[in-house]
Amino acid sequence: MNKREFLRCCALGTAAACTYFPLPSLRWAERGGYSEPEPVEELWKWSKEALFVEPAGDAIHCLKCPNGCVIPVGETGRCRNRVNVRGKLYSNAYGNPCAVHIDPIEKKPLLHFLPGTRAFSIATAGCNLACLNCQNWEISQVSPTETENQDLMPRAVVDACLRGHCASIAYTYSEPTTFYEYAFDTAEIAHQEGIRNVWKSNGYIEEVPLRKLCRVIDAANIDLKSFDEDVYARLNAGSLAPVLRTLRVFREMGVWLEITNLVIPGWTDDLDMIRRMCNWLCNNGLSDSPLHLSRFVPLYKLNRLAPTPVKRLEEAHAVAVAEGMHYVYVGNVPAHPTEHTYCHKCRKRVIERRGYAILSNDLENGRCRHCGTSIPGVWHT
Amino acid sequence: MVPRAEGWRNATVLAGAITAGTQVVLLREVLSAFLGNELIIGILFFDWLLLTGVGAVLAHRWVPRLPSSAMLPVALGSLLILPPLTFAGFRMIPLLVSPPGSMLDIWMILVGAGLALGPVCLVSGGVFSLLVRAAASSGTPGPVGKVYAWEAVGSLIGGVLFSVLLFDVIASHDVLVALCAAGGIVGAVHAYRSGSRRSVAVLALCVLLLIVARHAMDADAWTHARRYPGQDVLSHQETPFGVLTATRSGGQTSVYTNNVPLYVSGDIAKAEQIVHVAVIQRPHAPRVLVAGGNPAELVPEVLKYAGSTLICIEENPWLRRLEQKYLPVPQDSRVSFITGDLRRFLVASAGAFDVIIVAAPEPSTLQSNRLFTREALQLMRRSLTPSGVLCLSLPSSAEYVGDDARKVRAILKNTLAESFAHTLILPVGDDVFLASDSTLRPDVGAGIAEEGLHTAYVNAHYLQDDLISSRAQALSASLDSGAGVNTDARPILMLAQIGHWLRLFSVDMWIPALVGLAAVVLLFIHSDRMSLGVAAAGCGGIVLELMILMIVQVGFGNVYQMSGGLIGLYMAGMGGGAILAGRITHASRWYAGMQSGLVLALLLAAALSAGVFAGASGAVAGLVICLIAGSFSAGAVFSLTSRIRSENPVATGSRLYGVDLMGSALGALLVGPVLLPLWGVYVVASSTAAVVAAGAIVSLSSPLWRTYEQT
Repeated sequence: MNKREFLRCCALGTAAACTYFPLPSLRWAERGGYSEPEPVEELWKWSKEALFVEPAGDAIHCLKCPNGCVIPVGETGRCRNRVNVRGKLYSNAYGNPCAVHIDPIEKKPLLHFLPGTRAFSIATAGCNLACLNCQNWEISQVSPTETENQDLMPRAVVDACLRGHCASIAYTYSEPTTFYEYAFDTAEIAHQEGIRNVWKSNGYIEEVPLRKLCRVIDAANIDLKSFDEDVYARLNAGSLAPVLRTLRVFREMGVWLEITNLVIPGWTDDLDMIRRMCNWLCNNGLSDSPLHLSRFVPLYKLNRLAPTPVKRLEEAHAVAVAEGMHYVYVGNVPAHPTEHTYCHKCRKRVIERRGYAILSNDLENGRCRHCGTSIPGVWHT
Repeated sequence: MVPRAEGWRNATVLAGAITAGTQVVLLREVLSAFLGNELIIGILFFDWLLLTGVGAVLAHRWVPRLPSSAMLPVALGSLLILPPLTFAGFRMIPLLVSPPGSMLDIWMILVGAGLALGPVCLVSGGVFSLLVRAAASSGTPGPVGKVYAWEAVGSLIGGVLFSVLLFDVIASHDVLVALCAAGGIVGAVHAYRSGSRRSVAVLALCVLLLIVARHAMDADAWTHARRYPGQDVLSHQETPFGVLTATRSGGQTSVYTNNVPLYVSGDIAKAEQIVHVAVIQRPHAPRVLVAGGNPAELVPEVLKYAGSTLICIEENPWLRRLEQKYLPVPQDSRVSFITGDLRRFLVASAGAFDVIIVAAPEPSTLQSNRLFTREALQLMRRSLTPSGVLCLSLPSSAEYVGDDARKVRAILKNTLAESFAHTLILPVGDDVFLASDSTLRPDVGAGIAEEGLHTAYVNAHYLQDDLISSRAQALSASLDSGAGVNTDARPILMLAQIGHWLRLFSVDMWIPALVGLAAVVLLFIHSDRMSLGVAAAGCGGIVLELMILMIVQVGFGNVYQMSGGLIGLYMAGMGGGAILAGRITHASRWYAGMQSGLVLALLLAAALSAGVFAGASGAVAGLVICLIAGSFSAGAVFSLTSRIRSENPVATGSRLYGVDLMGSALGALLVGPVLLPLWGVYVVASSTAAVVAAGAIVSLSSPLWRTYEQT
């Protein structure tokens, strides 16, 4: 083999390898690991015509979330389960949850919503963000065609919830916005059966679908992942403004709302940022919404950071309270003193918790037994 | 440094020492920078060997056109400058391109390692051809074999020197700079004696640049500021078990190995999970053995059980010292600490424990996987009382168990089931695997309440027994009993865990195999018969080396310093074989004999593996003999083949060195991380022996042998 032949072979080999394993684009790296979904050409049993779309030439513009994907024929949106089949947009996540469990409602976390009850929890594959620290990356970063799913249409979900004696159905684990049609239809049937609906989400949803959703959702826990557009872009491949809008809409529509802020060392543990976040929440009428400051643990691709020091969480807690948030909890730290609910007026303990269990409840008709102050929340089914 | 007298020999030894030392140092850096499991190490070796081979092949055409007096000093000078630069690239690039606290994407590892290694490897390959020309110019007979032999001697010196100096004396980057500078000074002195002023100037300039660059930047301070932002670095030490770092932030002490968090202080939930899920199974005066974990948190939890006694075993003495300094455990007569290998400790501990808890990292490396094999579990079974409980764990499968995670869990469950009558998987934080010959209780929360223990996390308030049980049953029911059993000789759990890890990047395990296969096809198409024989021997040699390293590691635990000795022996064998082959007549008969020696070494090493896995020292001695014999044969094959070819020495050296390294690259990529776990020691050894034999037959069918022996 001479040099010319060798170089020719190398070039051919490289070209073949690149064809078979395309190298990632810069955009892919910047978006924290998001990869293009496989093209889809056929419908399947769990396909359902998608809501909130408009034509965009030969493609379809998805109006469900702020990603605003323009999806050509045969392609899939960033959430991985909205697919353009022959000019019509379908959700590929309808009646095929990959995760089905019963959880304590406190695990969502929702501490002011039907405490001590259980939630029938479902998720399909797919998510419209790509967080570096995703706990459920095995289902959030793939499409429903890649997971092992159950066959559980909306009516069957409600029946299973009733059989499990659960007070609510939680749309959770991955991102329910991506299985909106399935969640919405299930929630409507659930309401007819007297079951509450819980939305555990990143809040990355457009306003029109959100307002429609609020008709059937009783409580939501929204991840406010940071209060910085740059961090949102680098850590989550998303943006902050739509999430803030979601919080405002939930409040306006009267949906019970709790907020989770994951405190990640070096990313979201800046106390000044937490101060600004709490200030915004208070100024937007959300001071009564419980705020969960959760401890980070190394997960997925963010596995070189140590867990958040508890002291840092306590400092963040103090900042939140000082800014005017009435109900602030430190999450993911078992037996932490803040796991109880204290009346924001008299500061006395009104709900004593241990883990997911309620040890004592000093609420009377939703009011503090000690001073009579109304404690915001949904306390009874 | 110049082709006068025997100057080429010193230059060859220097080049060999620098490249081998660089390999050792970069391997350490890979472990910490790129999450060094066997797949990543295999990729690094593949990149290294392939690029060096490419450098040699490319030099084949260029070397004859270059001026003889200038190029060798310049190339050797580059070889002094480039390793520290490569090291800096390995250290800095991941920190600059990846988001804080995140791991590098596998594609970036592949491309980044290739780019970083490119210059030093290409130059290294080219230097071989330049040295051959220098040796030939000085009238040395059989220059290709001689350069090959002396390069092996240099590699032996460099590898051993770096391995010995690397840890207790100075930091790895300083070792690299110091040895490159020392090499430059030795070279300059020799060049001065040889009268080559140009060489002296080039080498002196390189040494000066190295020293200035080293003093211009504080590498550790720069690295720590980026790796541990907002944390005070209490301790940072390179050890044979990896880089250990302790930091403090917000009152929390965090311990990292290879920059990945090992544990933090105050993590009560983790400590409770490690201890109580297992010990609550046998709560009355339990004798407990805990391997790994943070003793400062674990000891108080175990001592909550009345009458309990505890032995904590940790293999890394540096970690133990660090714990004593920053995470001290109060003295207690019920607790004792042992520093050593768990498997070897268990050999003499029959029936000694009621509970054994292995708090090991996930089995994604051979080092951690060796505690999850059938042989290890049988040892643990023997060390338990008849109703004793073994506890292992894997990271949480959270709300969904994908195919890869399920396969990992199925293999572990099957392996446990081979040694124990009962197994139970409890998804509590992590996925905890319990095994015993007596019954196991899934209602951990109820057990804690019955014993009246005060716990923060492991109790009925967090772990609601009915929900945990239903999840546990669903998980167990989904596991495939035909997924296989993890053994020392066939570590399929490690392969499955690496496969699961690759899912993070949506990459399939077959990609490295396909890349290797493509390279095999290219090599086969574009090699003549004699080259194929050398490539097969190169492949066989590296497989033998990797296989023996793996066997010894599985049998005896972390063998970093022993591995330096084994690699040194391999290099010595190669050098010896290459030198001796230069004096042999009846080349074809010797060639056949040497290839047969390599085949036998492969087969015998596999046969001896069972003895080593059982910890037999005699079997290790046998392996050492196999290693020397095999490497001797591989060196001799190269040298003999180089004598037969009728081309000019530079062309012969470039081509043979190139195919030898490419064959080795294939062995490193395919066999180490993929085929060895997938097929096991015996099949891999047999298959490689068959490849070596086929290469020998193909080579011997060449008419060049007859022509040579007739003349």
